[in-house]
Amino acid sequence: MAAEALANLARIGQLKSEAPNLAEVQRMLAQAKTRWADSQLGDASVDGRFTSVYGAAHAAALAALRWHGYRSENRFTVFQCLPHTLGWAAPRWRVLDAAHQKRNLAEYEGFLDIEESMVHELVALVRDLIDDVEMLVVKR
Amino acid sequence: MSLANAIFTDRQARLFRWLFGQPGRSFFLNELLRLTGLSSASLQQELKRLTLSGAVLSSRMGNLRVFQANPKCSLFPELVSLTRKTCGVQAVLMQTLEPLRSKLAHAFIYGSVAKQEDTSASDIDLMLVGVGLTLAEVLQHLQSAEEALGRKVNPTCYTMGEFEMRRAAPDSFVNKVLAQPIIHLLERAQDGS
Repeated sequence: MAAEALANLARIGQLKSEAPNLAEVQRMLAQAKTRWADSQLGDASVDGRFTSVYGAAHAAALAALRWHGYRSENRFTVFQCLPHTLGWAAPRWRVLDAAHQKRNLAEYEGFLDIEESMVHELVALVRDLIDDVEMLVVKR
Repeated sequence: MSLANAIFTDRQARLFRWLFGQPGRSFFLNELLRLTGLSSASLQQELKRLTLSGAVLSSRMGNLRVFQANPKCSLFPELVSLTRKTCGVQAVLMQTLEPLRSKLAHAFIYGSVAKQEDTSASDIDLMLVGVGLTLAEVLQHLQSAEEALGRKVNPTCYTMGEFEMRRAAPDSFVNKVLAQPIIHLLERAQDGS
């Protein structure tokens, strides 16, 4: 069913089909881990930690999508596919979508308005995300 | 007993939620059948009354009938406001947030819905201020509201401290939001805790 959902999204042009490339997936996963580790640096600003953990989320979610043989340049779509790529429930991937909107507000309207509490929540959530992608990749 | 059930019949509540809850949107008959869950006979009966009285406009698009709230009806503003407060966005969200009440100090809608500039596709922007709120928990509760309203809800959560800090900063996003219309959903007197 998940495979079908992804195929449907590709059919309507939301996703691009591109054969999985394990080296690329591993590279993205490694990038996700590095950025996640950056978000743990105690002396970094809240905004800096947010940017790191958000970057980690995107890299990990994209790695999962690439593992399934798809790609998207649209960040919302990458997160929206998590129910299909990793079986994530809506409230969880929607937190990442909320982070995506925060980032846009910061980058396009100049409101660097990130709450410490949100960074905390993201750090735990993205840790799970990275673990799930790792499981997916190792399982093969 | 909800206010909606005291003021409207069940049929009306189900239909008004769409017609007067999203007054700028027009609906096909089939669409209303699906959205309201009413039987075809009940729905047609209600629509007949509403169109004959001029509260709702009915037109044809090809061979399909289309219905929309009539902005020229003398009761239009009252019907829209009554619907919003009893079975519209405001009512649905108030109900949805009820389980989170103990954690919330302040909850309000801002953005296009609060400014009454929203279309059927507009997201609903929600700001929540409270203790121990996580986005995942809030989104979990909002899922049913999103399904009922057929729209996405975007929550922003602050702790009381975070909110006050932003209130104190003149050019903050919070102050930009508060300078524009908002719709209060829930407000608790501050008890200092």
